[in-house]
Amino acid sequence: MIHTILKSDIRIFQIIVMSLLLGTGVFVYDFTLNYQQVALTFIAGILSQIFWIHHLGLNKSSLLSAVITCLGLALLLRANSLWVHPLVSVIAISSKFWFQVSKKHFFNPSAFGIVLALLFFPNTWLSPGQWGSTTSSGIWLAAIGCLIASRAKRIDISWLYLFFYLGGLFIRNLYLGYEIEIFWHSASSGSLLLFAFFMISDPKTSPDHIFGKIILALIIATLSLFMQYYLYITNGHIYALIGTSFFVPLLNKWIQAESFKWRNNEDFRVSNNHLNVHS
Amino acid sequence: MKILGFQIIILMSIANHLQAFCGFYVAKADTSLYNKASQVVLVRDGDRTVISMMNDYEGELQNFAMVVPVPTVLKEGQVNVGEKKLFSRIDSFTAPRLVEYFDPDPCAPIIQKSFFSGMKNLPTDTMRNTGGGSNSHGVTVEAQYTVGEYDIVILSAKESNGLETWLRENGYSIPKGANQALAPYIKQEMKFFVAKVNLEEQNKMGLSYLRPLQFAFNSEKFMLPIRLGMLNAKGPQELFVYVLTKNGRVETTNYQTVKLPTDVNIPVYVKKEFDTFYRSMFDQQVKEERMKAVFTEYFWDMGWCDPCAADPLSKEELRGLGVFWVNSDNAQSQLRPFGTGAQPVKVTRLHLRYTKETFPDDLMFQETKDKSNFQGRYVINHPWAADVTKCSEAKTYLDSLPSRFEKEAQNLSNLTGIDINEIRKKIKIQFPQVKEDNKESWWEGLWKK
Repeated sequence: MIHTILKSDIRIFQIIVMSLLLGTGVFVYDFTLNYQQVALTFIAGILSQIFWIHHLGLNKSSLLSAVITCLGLALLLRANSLWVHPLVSVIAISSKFWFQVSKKHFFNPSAFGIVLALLFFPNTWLSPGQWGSTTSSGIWLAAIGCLIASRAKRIDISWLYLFFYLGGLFIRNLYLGYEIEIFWHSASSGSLLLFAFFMISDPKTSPDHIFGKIILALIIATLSLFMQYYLYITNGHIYALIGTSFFVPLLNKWIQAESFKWRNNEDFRVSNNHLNVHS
Repeated sequence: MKILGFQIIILMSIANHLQAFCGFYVAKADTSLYNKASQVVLVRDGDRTVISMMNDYEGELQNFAMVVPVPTVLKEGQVNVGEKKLFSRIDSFTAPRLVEYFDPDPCAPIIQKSFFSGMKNLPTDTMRNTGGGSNSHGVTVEAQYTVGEYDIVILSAKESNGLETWLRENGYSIPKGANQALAPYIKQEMKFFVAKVNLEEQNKMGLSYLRPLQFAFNSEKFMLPIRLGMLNAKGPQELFVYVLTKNGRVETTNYQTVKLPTDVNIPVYVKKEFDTFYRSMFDQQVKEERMKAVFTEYFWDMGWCDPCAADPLSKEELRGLGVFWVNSDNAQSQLRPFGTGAQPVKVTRLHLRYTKETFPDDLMFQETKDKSNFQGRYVINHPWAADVTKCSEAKTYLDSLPSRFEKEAQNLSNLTGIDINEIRKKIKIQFPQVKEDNKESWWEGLWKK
């Protein structure tokens, strides 16, 4: 039964894993996050998605994506007030319908919401160190990510990103003469693995073709490293993901491949204005 | 898990008065509990940084030297010798604290007041070397001056072997492995701040101890180099970092930052052994986090405290620690969180125990926008000691004590890892008059042999 559910849609599995992470974070690690913020994120996000579903006549399964977006926001974004989370949630979900090329959104919704909040909303921040940086938790997250990755046929961009990012980090480490422990320490960072397996991995906002994925992963990894180690901007990877979003439709144009669908034989209803959005 | 109150920051000072602390401040657990702890004060706003380092060096003064990687060549005006007492002030102000409440007479409730207390002190740590001569080896002496009792050279180097050789030839006994530890800083074009004691100046001053060194510089990097300090470390190191910023709580970005457990009710007898309690508790927390986390012990506005473990630092004291955005006019006055128009000062106290294995990299920080006050606060509740047979409520009150004591015992055991039976015994010794909760389960003694 469970196997059938997971097989039919890996987003359910993703939701389970991300909820576990959120639960662990809130109960074990004492994130500076409270229940109201989590609740408001979900209420606002899901209502936005329902509004768009209704407005555009979409498939209800897109609610799962909305839940994943909300989980991403709750896991990462921190704020000093109660209004930030729901507003960001509405913007993140709506960005999928506002910004489209060839009827396909190109901003990763949770990353878009986070970047917008960090740049324009007062008193917001991310805590990249909150997951701890222990190898074991890293392996734990990675193992879960692996499982997800192996189920999502198109999630190979996660591995490509990790390969380029860690490769670059390793070369930097070697060049500067740091002890290997420092490389392992950085490589096992929970926030890096979260980003790789739960954010950049979104098949809807990554290129269709493997060559496109390689190019994009390389660019984002290079930008992440550059921002982190030369501009000293924490969370550079999220900015890099959003900054390169425009690139995805271009890559898809240049390197054609069959567009991703969440399920085989997925039958999307087409709305009156002929939008065919896969959320 | 602590649920945050979401007062908007403007309301916070009001909230303070509304929820005034009503208990007696009893004791604090300051850094004097650790006889080998480093203390650093980090002041940061934008890219302006002031670092003050306290060394509790206990050897021959001519053998003292310290090497700190710094991002730029520091001119003479950027280096200062600070006051040791300011460290004990900020330590006392931010130390985890014990507070006590007295149960009201169950027959006639009473109202209590609060009062404040003074301070104690003292920190420690060291890196040791010795000084002399000159030769090149790709090492450039970028600047050289004497500040207070310290002779200071700022070095830049082309490669770590050269720097190590230069330091050795100049009489600094560099520990093994220094070469590898220095290399990454050289590659990143950092400079080295090397200080040793000028005995003549030291004698003139007649000081028997070394005062803290402070340096001010601009740097994009918000970090604290700890790798070099581990070279001659024997066993785990203890470090306290007090970070003074304008806006919010500071945390590490490359290590987990966790808050110490706080607001916990513990047995009354802990009052006599708060130091031991705090040490055991910290040991236990370190163990639980496998020595891989940085602990937040305090985050508050510098203008007020509740309860106060020491008076808030005056503007003059804050400027002494390098808080450059505080004006020293009217220096004796204390900061007010709101009112003088002065920029606010927030203090985050971080405490970590580390080894090379658990903290391989330097500490990288970020200032968050988190403004929720936090303090390590432990609470004891004294039972009503007078005659409790006067009224009908008294029996209810007495009956409630055993389960309360049990809860306090469990709290203490969870926090410190102390055997709960030991704790129960101590509570019983202290309150023999309180009968244990003797509600036996129905099956107990059913098959007594």
